[in-house]
Amino acid sequence: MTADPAAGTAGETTGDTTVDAAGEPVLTAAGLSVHTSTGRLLDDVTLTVRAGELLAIVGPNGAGKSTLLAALAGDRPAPRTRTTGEVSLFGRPVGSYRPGALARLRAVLPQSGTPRFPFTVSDVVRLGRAPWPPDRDRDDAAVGTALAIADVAHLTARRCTDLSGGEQARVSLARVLAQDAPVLLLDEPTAALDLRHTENVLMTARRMADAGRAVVVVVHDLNLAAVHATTVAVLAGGRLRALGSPAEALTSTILTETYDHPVTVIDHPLRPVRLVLPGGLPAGQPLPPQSPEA
Amino acid sequence: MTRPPAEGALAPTPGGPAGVEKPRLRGRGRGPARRGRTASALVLLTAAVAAAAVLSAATGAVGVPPLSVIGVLSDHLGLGTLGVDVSARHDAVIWNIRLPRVLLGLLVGACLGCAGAILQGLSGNPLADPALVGVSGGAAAGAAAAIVAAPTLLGQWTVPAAAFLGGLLATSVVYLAARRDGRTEIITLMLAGVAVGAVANALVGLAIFTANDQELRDITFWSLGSIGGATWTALAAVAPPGLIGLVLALRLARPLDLLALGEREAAHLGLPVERTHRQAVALVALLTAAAVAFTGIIWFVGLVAPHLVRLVGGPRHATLLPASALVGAGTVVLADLAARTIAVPAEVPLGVVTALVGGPVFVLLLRRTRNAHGGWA
Repeated sequence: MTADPAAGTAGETTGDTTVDAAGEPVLTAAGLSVHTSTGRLLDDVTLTVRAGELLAIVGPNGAGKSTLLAALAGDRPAPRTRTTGEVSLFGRPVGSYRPGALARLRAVLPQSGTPRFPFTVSDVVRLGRAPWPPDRDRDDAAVGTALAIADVAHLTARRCTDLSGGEQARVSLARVLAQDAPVLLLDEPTAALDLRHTENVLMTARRMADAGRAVVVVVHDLNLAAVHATTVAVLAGGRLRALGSPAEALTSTILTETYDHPVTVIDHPLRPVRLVLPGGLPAGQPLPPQSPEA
Repeated sequence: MTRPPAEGALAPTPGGPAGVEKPRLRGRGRGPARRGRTASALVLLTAAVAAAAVLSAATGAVGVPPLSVIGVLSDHLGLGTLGVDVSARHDAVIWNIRLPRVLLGLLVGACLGCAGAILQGLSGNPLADPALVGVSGGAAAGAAAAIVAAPTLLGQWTVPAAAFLGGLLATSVVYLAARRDGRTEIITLMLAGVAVGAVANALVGLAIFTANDQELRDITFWSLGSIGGATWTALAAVAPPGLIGLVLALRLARPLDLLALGEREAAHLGLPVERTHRQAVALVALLTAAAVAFTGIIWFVGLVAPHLVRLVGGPRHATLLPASALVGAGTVVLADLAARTIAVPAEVPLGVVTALVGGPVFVLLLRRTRNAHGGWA
């Protein structure tokens, strides 16, 4: 993999915040719980995201993945919920940042939404530069890079309301990339995408991480997590069921329990990654060869 | 759709940023070029509105050549008559009667158009009208109450002051009713506006119930809108809140663009969402209350002007806000011209003209945009 265009600008545009110090804790949740009147959406979640890390959050529907991502993003809590515990970004409580400063440190891709008016793709992506003081050259460079990475450069003059769901999702991704923040939080960025663009998004996320950013991505496809993530967090019922490398977190035992459905994890026959398959093995079938952790 | 494989996207070209394919920002993409086009469009629009204003000032029971209108204006601005021969009579008609009326029409229209654009941006709903946050209803209730209860309390200022305060009060009630845990949901705001509007309507009904015949006429005509009562004094009263509101509105362009992405997205991009809500609602209230205080309710301008602009100039608020103000200004001046010329010597209420023309125009716009992009202009 050659140099990543977005990564090239990271060091200079993020100012004081050094993103190239890989391994530094960037984003931490400590004892994070989100309560509603009827129960807990998140229950005592503690995790650390480091620079250079691509953390995939996986788990069944309703496990609290989006709630966790929103809390990490510093979103104001949803109505009638109470949040305890703390989220820190670059060593400071995420709530202590002013909105503009926060937006220069972390970009968020929420689950897809279409702009309410027919803005052009170019306008939408350019709005990603809103947190930064206007600087035409730097803005043009960041927008151009983001358009290219998200593969929407050919759509710039189109109205975003006329695009397909997948194209809209990529435009939103481009807007988030144009924001050029050292921390990226992506909530199901691949939900509407075809195979090629799904791979593109996850590879981009991984390159961002390799270049020293911290990337958190919520995905449903466990194989994507297995292939691309450096770290996987398995959420179940609001609790952190497992946290570790894909090999540690994505095991038959953990996943079968988490999803309440038999799951088989095998080694990929040709590549050094795991394959996660729904369903158990036929009775009496010997286990395929696996690395010890699975 | 076929297109070349985006190698630049999947495997970044070596050499970092310099090697990245130059972004293909076609059409409306380029910043400077687009800014130039936007600016020239706004200049053209301004010229058209000015022409409409001169036409309106020139037309009436006493016909005045358009050049004389310009001569009178320039004379009073201390620039001489520019060589135009202006009679004393024409000077009196233009300066004392027509000009305050035209200028008030421009200002009121600009306020309504701009308020409509702000509210539509705030709510993300192209069908939003300033009436939706209760300001028109509150102003009507204030005016009706003043007409019935104490029409002479503040002399000629009574009804305008009551209308202005009624509008601001109603919007404050709407805002506070929609606020909960330090945040306002826009949909709740709109629904609270409907509720407050209903109460205001009931108050108008109550005023009508207790009114005598003359008061009844006054209330009815107020609610139909007219700028026939324009004087330099009225203009001087409306100008400060109106102009301040218009200038402040321009600062909302970027925040409203961001809000169009969704409130969460806007917050993620560093927008203080709640503060923006507050500022936008306050500006809508200020602009609308200032607009209707002397002239009564003028329907459809705030709804249609932003629509028209969005159709031609796109949804970016840096263009939309000033252009909506200009289109609103031109619309009110032309509607007023029609109102006082189609049934000479009688004057048709202005609100009747705007609604009569605005309603069908709006339906046409709606059908056109629905064909083009599913109803959202």
